Amino acid sequence: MAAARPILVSGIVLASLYALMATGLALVWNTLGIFNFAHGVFMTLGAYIAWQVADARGFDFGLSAGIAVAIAALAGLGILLNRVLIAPFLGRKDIVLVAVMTTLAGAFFLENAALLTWGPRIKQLDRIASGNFRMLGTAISMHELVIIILAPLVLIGLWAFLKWTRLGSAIRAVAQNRDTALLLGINVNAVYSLTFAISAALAGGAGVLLGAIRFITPTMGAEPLLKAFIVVILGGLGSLAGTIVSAYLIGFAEAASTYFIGAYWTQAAMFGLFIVILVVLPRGLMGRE
Amino acid sequence: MMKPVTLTWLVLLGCLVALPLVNDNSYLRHIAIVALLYASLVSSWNLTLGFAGVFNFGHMAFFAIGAYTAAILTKTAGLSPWTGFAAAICTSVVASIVVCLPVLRLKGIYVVLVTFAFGQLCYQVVLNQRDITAEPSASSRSRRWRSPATPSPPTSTSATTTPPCCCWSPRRST
Repeated sequence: MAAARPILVSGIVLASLYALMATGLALVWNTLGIFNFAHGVFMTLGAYIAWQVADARGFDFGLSAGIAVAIAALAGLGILLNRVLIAPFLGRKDIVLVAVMTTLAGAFFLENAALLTWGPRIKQLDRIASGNFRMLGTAISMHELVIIILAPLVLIGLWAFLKWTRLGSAIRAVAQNRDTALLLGINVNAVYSLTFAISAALAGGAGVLLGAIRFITPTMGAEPLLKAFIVVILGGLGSLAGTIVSAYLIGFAEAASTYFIGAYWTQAAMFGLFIVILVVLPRGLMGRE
Repeated sequence: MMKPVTLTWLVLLGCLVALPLVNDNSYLRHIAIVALLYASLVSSWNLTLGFAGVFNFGHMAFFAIGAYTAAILTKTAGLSPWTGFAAAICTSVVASIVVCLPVLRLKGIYVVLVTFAFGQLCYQVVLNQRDITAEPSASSRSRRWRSPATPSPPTSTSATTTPPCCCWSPRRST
């Protein structure tokens, strides 16, 4: 199979980005029990803020400053969004559906704010590393190599944080049982804010990485958000490991479908796959009840 | 003797029928038509969420599928607008069945995800198939029922009165 190696390589790049996006989405879903439809806009804003700080037409502070500011700003925005759009409705029985509407509204608001602030002209970030790299006989840019290496490292870091630190344990405790966590003296609202901050920072980081490969537009987050949905559903709601495994599966599936049936119909094929997963495997690969 | 509520509705409907006949202002007519178009769209969405309780976030996709069907058939294929109108209804119904089948087995957040994903998918397909759908900013426009040069009261009457009627009847049947 001559096609196998390019598919594998391009699949790994896609999958690494999806893993970053989907993990943030899954973290919020597991802990707060809501789906954040503004997650794609977090990605867009991360890219725009990094561009604003780093680019010569912006503040011109260099790429590393841009990345740092973008991730910090997104963490703050995550907390703000949680306070404004989620916290007032917590405790309601229909919180899942209410949160869909509030986060969708927030997403529209932020998307159009980005359009007003930065205008419709497309932008692009500088690559983190220049040059090319040959992997499995296929040439990829150094930037893509950075993505391939960085994403698993970040996810391992997140896993270690959740596993071994007190704060991470608090997040897992709230995810398992909110009321018991409250009784044990965990500040649940602070944990929610923290979760949102981590999730938004992950999305912002993914946006910075994607903003150097694709163009930055106000709607650039919509498609990765959709992929993150598919990844989270395939992985199974409530399972972080499942999310990461399925990010790589979906990444390869998309790369293979782009290779064989073309980029035009890949979106439709992914949607078909989404439906099949929901019907055949409603709890995903590793979902719990 | 009719109930007062029914009478009120009939009087309002009469006003809508009369509006294009007495109104000369094309801007006002345009606003009235667009307002009623969105009124019909909202009431049709209300059928799924309000009456059936299905959280359907892909509703605008059906709207778009109908619009694109009519636009492509009349502009690209050169068919009569009436054919386009009928075909638009058929394609959006077929699309809704395609979405409905998986939704039947799901509930809660999963319904939202499938319908939302479907809406996004349609958006992506429209963006990607530019040869057929033209540029997204200046998308193809379906041919009008009559030439726009001559103001035509009958057409405007149908545009102002059809939406409220077509949404009223399925509601009564539930």
